[in-house]
Parts: sequence; structure tokens; C-alpha cells
Amino acid sequence: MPQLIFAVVLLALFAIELLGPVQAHVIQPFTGAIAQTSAILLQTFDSAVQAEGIVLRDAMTGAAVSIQPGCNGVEALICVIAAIVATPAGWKYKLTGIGLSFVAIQALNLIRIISLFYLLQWNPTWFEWAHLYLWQALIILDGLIVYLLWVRMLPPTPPVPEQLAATEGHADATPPD
Amino acid sequence: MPRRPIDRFLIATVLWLAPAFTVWYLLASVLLMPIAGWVQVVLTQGFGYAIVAVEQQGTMVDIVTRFVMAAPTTGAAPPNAQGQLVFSINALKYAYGLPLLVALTLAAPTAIGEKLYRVVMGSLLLLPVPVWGITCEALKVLVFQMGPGVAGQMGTTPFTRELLALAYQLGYLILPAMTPILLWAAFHRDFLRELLPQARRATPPAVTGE
Repeated sequence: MPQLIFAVVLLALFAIELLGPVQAHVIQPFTGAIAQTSAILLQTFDSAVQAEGIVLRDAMTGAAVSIQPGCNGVEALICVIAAIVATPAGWKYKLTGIGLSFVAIQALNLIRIISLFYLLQWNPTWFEWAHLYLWQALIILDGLIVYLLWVRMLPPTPPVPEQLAATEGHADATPPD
Repeated sequence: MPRRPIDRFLIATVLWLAPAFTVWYLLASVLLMPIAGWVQVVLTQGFGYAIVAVEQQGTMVDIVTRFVMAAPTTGAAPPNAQGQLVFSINALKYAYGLPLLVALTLAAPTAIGEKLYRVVMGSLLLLPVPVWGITCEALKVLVFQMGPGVAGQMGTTPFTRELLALAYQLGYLILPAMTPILLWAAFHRDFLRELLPQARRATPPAVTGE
């Protein structure tokens, strides 16, 4: 059942993300906010960096990166949300997990964007390599890490009555941490 | 060395990523051969009215179509020249799940023989992911990027175009990253139970054998 919930939630959220109005009113503004945040962070040590919509640009060199779908962390977040929703836990824990996942994935995504911005100016070949392969893997790995740590935070699920009956006499069960 | 298994596993995974990606990239031309072969089968058998052949060129896959188009005026071709429509797809952007799976598998504390078995099985089970991605990109290029003349001959409807767009995005944005994680989790259920005490405590001792 959790596998089915995971697949359904994943596909549903992904389909919703691709809808035109969602792209126009949620994803594009959100991606623009990521570009703005990246620019603010970069301007603390590099005043030439500017954000224009979803484009991050170096005013001195003209080098620019455009933050496209797949580079805004939304897909990785969708995967983690689907996994969290499919995991048996109270909604308070699930919402906490989703919030933590959002922070963790977006924090690493900012590092990705900033690193790619400078990598592009240093070596376009390495930029392509990091952009298309390495960072994609690192972001989903980040999602996996957050999910594993979240599951460790969960309280133990009480066993169902049938299982309790089967374990009578096992009073030395492992106590919770 | 970190005390908790989860910390050891996470650090080992990150450390294994660099060599896994390096070896994967060096062997990419060989590793992509079965993928290009399957793409050839799917596209020429399923869409033979549009695609004649699929040819691997290193890490690129060339899609050779039946469509004839005017040659670009900026090239060396003579005026009014025509040519067969061929375009290239970067196959690696759908195949990076393999080094991720390898890094995760090597980081998990299993016997070397078991790691090898899981890597081989995992790489076989991962094959459909890049095949799906490349196939959908080839069809997307023909339906959405080559103009109404080519799109009209692909015989699509508004519904199948929406479906193709969804399948392409799924094959590009979700499947290459998500599938290795799911395969790894399926191969390492025992280790996951060790990593996640919650999962262990959720099941009574008599069932787990604790």
C-alpha cells in the first residue's frame, strides 16, 4: 500500500507541477525567487552578480545561467514529499518532514546554482558535466538523506493487536531510545 | 569513524560518488551500447514510419528519420538542397542513475559478492530508464520541434501530445534520479531496517526475531 501511495502522490504532484497555470503562478515565481536569493548571497562577495527573472548574470563578464525546470529543486522535493506521505506517520510529523525537506533541498540547490554559475565561467565542459549529471545525483541523494533522517525522528508505530498477542511473554523487547 | 551506521553509510556514499562517476564517464561509450540498442528496437519497431535507424556516436545517440527537409542555407550545401532529418541526443543525461546506484550499493555494508550481484542486477533493471528518456526525447523533438510538417506526419492527437510531454518530463526529471534510489532500497531492505530503528521497533520482536 505505501508503494501505491508513493507512486500516486509522485505522479499527481508531478502532473500538477507541469500544468500551465501552476508553472506560471507558482513554479516560475518560485524559480525567480531562487535566482534572487542566489544573487543576494553572491552579492555579499561579488557585486557584479544580478538576477533578472530566472536568469543569474555577471554584469562584468556577461556570463549567465538560466534556472530551468529540473534546476529549481522542485522535482526532488516532489519525490521526498511522495515518500513522506506514503510513510505511516502522523500528519504533524509529515508536515515537519516536508518542511525540513524543503529547507534541506533548497539549501543544497542554492549551493548547486552558485557553484554552477562560477563553473560556467571557469570551464563550460565541467559546467555541463556537473549540471547534467553530478548535481542531479547529489540533489536526489540529499532528498534520500533527509528522508532517512526524518524516519529516524519518528516515534515507534504501535504494533497491531494481533502482533501484540503473538509477542506476549516478550517483555524484554527493545526499549525506545 | 562515525559511530552511527547511518552516518557511516552517508559519508561512504558521498566518497564513492566521485570514483563511481569517473569510471562511469570513462566507460560511457561501452555502457551506452545496450541502451542505444534498445532505443533502436523501440523506435524503429514502434515508430518505423518516422525513424529509420538509431546510431550511437560515443555518448550521443543519432536519430535517423525518414523525413526529408531543406538543408540549412548557412551550411556548405548548395541552394535548394534537401537532406534526411537526423538529430542527436545526449544519452548520458538519462543514464547517471548507474553511478548513483553503484555508490549507494558500495557504501552499504554487504559482502563484496553481494555488492557485485546487486550492481549487475541494478544496472540491468536501470536499463529501461535511459531507453524511456531517449525514446521520449526523440518523439518530443519530432512532434514539438520540427515544425507542423513533421508533427502532422507523426499522427498525434492533443491527448497523445499531452501524454508525450508528461512522459518526456517524467523520463528527464524524475526517473533517472528516483529509480536508482528505489532499486537500492529494494535491494537493501535488511540494511534499511538497521539504519532506521523506527522501522524495527514498529514490528514486534517475535516477528523480527530480535
